[in-house]
Amino acid sequence: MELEQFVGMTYKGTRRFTQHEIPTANGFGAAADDYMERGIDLNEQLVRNKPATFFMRVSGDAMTGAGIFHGDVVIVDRSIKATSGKVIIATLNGEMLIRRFEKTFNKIRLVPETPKLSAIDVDLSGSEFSIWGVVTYVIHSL
Amino acid sequence: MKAIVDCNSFYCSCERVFRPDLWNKPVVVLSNNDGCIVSRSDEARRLGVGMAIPYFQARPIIDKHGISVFSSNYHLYGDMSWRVMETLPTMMGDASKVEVYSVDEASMDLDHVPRHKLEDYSRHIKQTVEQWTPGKM
Repeated sequence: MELEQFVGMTYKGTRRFTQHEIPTANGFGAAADDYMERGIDLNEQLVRNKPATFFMRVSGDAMTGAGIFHGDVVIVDRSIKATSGKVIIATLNGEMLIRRFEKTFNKIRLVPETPKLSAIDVDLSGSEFSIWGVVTYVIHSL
Repeated sequence: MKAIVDCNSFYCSCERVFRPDLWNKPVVVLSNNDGCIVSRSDEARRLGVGMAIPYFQARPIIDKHGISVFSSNYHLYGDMSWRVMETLPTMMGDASKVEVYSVDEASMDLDHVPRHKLEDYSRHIKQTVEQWTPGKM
């Protein structure tokens, strides 16, 4: 029981402490404490605006040319303005689509990145179209 | 000046975020064990679905109009609520000016905003919340 305290048999591999919090730890190790960092947090790296960011799983092969494959997870930010050339999640007539957004002065096109599908010219008067969010990253399993 | 923030048909808005096929369609959300109607979209309200009435009583209207019915999913509403309540202090630039009151309600201190700018300011907050999150205000 007493031994457990010292050799840390119950240590589960998480390190939610700093050296300052362990009274028995002193000497050289403590000097390194000033330089301690938390390690890389992917949320911090990939998510710019957390309340507006959503993770979505992609279904289909529409964007394989852009490196987005069936089953991948995309990170979607709703606070970013969709500009021409960005990959977006669009809603068209009740459907969600992932496409490259192309906007010219009077025309909107949703362009896939696969030869199997053709681009959609969005008819703004006769269809329900909106931009749901802008894709910022893709998480792809190798 | 103080502001009251209240999201419209919050649970229904949450259920519809990822379902563009249900935007502008009547939707209701039921309480635990599908007992009562706890949230109705505007479209469902207009069809005459009452608030907080038992599901079985609303059943005839629901079936007649093909209203979409959801059991409650509190994990989803909690996540969406967090997004709304996180967006507000971000907009205000000061968390102490926002007081969260419930899952879809908050009050805000707008004393620092000049009177003639209040409407623009409020609209800007509303637009941002609606753009960032599913909350409709």
